[in-house]
Amino acid sequence: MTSNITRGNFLKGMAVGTVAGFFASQGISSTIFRSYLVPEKKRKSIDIGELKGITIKTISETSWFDNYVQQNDFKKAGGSLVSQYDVAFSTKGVAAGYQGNNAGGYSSLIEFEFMDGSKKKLLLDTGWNVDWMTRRYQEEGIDKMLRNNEIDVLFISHDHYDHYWGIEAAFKFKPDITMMIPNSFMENSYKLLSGGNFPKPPIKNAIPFKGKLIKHDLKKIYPLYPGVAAVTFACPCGRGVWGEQVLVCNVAGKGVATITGCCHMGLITLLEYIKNNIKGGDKVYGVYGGLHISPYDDWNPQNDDLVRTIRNYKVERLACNHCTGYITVEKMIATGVPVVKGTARNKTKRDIYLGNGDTMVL
Amino acid sequence: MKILDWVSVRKLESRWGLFPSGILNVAVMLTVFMILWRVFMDPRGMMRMYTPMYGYAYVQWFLVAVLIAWLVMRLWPLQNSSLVSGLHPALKGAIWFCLCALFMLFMVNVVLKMMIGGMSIPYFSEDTLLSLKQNAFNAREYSHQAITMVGGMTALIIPIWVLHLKNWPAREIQRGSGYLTSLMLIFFLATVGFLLLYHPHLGILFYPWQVYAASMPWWEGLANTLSSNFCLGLMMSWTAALWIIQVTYEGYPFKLIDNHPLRPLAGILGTLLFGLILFSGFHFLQEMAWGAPVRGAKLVAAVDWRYLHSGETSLFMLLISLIWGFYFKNWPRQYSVEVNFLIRTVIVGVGTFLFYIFYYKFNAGILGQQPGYSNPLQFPLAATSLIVALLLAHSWFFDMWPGEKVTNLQEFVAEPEVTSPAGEPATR
Repeated sequence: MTSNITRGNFLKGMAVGTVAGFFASQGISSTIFRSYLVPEKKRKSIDIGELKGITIKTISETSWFDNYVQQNDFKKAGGSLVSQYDVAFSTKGVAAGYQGNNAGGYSSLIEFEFMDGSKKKLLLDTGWNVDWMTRRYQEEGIDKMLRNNEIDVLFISHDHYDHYWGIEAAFKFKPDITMMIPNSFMENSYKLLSGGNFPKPPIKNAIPFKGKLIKHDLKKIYPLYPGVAAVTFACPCGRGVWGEQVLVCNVAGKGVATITGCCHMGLITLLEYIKNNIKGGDKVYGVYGGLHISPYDDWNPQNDDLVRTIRNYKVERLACNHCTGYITVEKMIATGVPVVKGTARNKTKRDIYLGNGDTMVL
Repeated sequence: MKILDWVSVRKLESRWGLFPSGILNVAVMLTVFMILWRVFMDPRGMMRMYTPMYGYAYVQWFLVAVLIAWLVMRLWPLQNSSLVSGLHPALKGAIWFCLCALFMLFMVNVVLKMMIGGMSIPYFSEDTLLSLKQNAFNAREYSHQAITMVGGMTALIIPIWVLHLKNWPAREIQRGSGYLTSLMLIFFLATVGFLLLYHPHLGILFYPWQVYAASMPWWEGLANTLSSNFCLGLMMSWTAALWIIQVTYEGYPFKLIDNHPLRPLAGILGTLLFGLILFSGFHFLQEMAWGAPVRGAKLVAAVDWRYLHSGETSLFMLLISLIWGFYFKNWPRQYSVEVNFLIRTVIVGVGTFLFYIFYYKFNAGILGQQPGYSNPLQFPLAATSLIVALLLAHSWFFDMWPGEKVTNLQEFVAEPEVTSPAGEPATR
């Protein structure tokens, strides 16, 4: 079987195999065949209208108060893939926490001003620790706005513990608010909505939801108001959570602005999506919210790829906080990214980004 | 008696025919895998070691231990004992399995964590990183990431050394000094490889960049990313290439020039070339499916993840190649070598495609992982590597029990020494 194959034939065979293999892979990918085989990005240019301006107030961006404690909780639970409802979080005796509880939360108030001068308010996420969120809502007047029906919609970006588990704090003041969620909630998250109690984390909601629940399917664009759309992404968020929705706005004469809870799909992916799908998406005026880069002051060389790339998108105002992480912000500032500074109050530790109680106008 | 090359000299026979025995053996192996995964790894299970890097590090080193025990050490220093041929395969295999687990624990906990991590390079030790104020979870993940990568590099060097450098000098010196020298040479090369291909990644994993301790990633201009996933993906594709050529293609074409002085060079460069073809081929398939990657993007659009996924897909292919080669004896074997290879190529190609679909459809439910192709916490190779380790252990230590049996046991009763036949070291 092998005797008729000489060394000469071996070399010929190797050469033929190499050329064929190269052509089969790299060859095709670097020739005219590439344009036939690799899909081009189809630009849709969906017109979401435009609005006059946006005012964003950070109610709470401190999802937890002590990074070390938080990470130790996950370590003890078995890592980041363990369901969030199966993690025992530290709720007592944490020196840096709120009344000893390490849980805080993420929530922002967004006010849209339309071209005719009318306004609408939207509450983005409800945080985690009900006591902390109640206090922050009262300090910023959110409680009164909810009671007075001034807030049009409760918009939940995704059902991560620090964005959603504090719903009782909002329902205390308005249990029948209209609520928009991505249609990918965990089963336990629906249970929490209707009054669930989970002793292990521990988390409960004593005020069942009574309002209208609007579910947004993933991978779609939902116009909400003139110049404002909800865009949903199918993306893994960790701890059993899947899918996130973000707000995309088109500010007249300025450009597009993104408002995110955690941006689990990734900032560059989001900006590329907007560029390819939303009319005017080439010009990025503002970015607000968590960008999920180094939430635990962890790092990864991939994050440096992002920091080195983000300047190419020419974002005029980048108001990040929460899960963006201080390391990322320091690196962005060092490379000249226009990061909006904050005031470091209400338990936000540093002023290098927009913190609790800070406001940005777009 | 002393048996120097058990896997080469034993004769295995299917108990119930090729395919029934093969299917039974695959089922047995996968059952053991599921039990081990559920107990040690599954995030819903008992020990929850798939964090993911914590458990992955141990799996990687268990695979290395299995490779070392047979391919490098040829079961030394227990070649004389009944642990080679005297015991029931299930008992013998279980003992070797435990010995490999002990070696894994020694390498991970003593050599890498305590010695290297405690006294030389902090990122190898969770405790050292904790003492340097890294947070608890990062300390665990970073240290086990480094440990995994050294293991990955070792798992690449072993087949290169054994298949293309004939396990020098152990093949000539079939005693402890020879085996240990081969092992030390492999560890030396794996260390150099790790330092070149992964250490720069770890240098910028920390903040600020550890510029005095590690060079900037040299591959940035080439790969358009700072991440070592570029090197890692290529390394994985090369590992797959080495095994696929050895198993599916029976060592061809390199066995045709077995005694040529340039044979080692031809083998190393030839398999690297095949690895490059796999790497770039799978990378191109991803571009066809998801479009061009974007630097700085996350998930399926990330430049670095595309490289990693090319390697992962290559190793999916390796798994199918091994399953077909080990459990189904590389069927078919009755036609000309060209026809045999062609049919096997189709089988491995289709099998890889089906496994890929199956894995990403059911991994969340079966293994407790996140759904989706790309995920910062998704390392399909943790599961794949464990399956490969069990498959190799099944063949080398358990003599493919229960689906197969050794038919020439009586040959090893009286003879004082049995050496391997000349030529390729046996892998199956």
